[in-house]
Amino acid sequence: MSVENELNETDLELISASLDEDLSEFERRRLNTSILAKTEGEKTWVRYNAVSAVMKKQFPSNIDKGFSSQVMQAISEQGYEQEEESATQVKIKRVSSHLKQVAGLAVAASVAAFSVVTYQNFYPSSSPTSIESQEVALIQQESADEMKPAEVLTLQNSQRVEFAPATVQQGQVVNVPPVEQIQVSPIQTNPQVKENLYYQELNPYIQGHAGYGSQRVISPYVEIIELKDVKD
Amino acid sequence: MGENNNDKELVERAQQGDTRAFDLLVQKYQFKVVNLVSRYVRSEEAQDVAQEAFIKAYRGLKNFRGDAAFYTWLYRIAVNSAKNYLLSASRRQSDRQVDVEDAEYYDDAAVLRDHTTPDRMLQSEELEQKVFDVIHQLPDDLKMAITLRELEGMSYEQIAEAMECPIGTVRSRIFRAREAIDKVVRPLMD
Repeated sequence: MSVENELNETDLELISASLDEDLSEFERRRLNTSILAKTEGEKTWVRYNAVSAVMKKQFPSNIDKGFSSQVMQAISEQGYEQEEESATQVKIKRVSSHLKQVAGLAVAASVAAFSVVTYQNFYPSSSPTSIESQEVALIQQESADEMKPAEVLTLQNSQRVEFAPATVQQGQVVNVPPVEQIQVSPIQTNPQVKENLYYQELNPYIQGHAGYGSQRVISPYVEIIELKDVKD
Repeated sequence: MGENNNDKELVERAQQGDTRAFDLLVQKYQFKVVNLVSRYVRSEEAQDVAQEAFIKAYRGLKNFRGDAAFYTWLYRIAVNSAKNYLLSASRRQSDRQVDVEDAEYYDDAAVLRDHTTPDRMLQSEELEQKVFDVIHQLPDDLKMAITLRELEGMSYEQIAEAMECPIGTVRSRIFRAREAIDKVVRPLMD
């Protein structure tokens, strides 16, 4: 042991006191920069900690004498570096936010396209073909059979309706003219009759499917309702 | 006493890239961590898992803000490493079974090999026996001081009050007790 490596009794007492956290600021600095930098100081530090673990029954049944050296060797050989988790998290958040926006737009576009197609199916051209006229007549006939006179559609309380567009609230009454009052001509070209028929079909459809849409993708439904208001 | 300022200082140095400071933390806590991990995995695997835990701790050291004690943070990492090891080991075990004779030919044969090499290993039973033998032979004041500190976890102030002596005397008595024990332990550990 070289002279530089030797420890005096005060140094050893500092190592002992460090285990019990009874060091002044000056003593701690001296311990870390001077005493533990010496080989003998480091060995004593390990032995004192080992004895402390033995007394507390925290000493493992088997441990390699060079365990700590192996750990430090693994760290240096494999080039491990300290990582900052926060930077990674921000990166993940950015990607996640971007994906959410894209996904939201994609869903909104899909629902809008679907709604437009649905709207077009319910609103044929102003000069219907004979097939369309037949369909309208058939729908009108079926609706007249199934629905009561002066039918008033009232939205029922259900979980699916909770997500309905803001313009169609729970419990809101949507007035639809009585089917009996509509004079249907044999030609079936009266636009008012057709419109009422569309409402009779469209409103239950919207009520039945509103639950599938999130709050972000219900705008197509709002557009349809606005059109209805304009017609009224 | 209480907040571990020495650990805090070593952690701060290690966070600034001082691997020597981290080495001191490893040396300080290696026994506790290996012992902790060996409660979850077999003793021959405990060192590998503990090593992994220390490496994880080193890599994540920049994220340690010091809100909790360093050992509390290290404890969680060690327990998580042990649990992850058990999970992956159970998956490997379900994939295939290996004969002991063929163990050397497999990458994951460490599970089956006997790691115990007596020359390099510290024998805890022998160590424990010698430590407590010395403690029993210590003078009463030293024995009481070291026992109250290590076994009862009392602070220097509490021990001073219990032994009706100054705190400096407590510190000196505990040191002399440790020195007496160290004389017996040194040949086994160096």
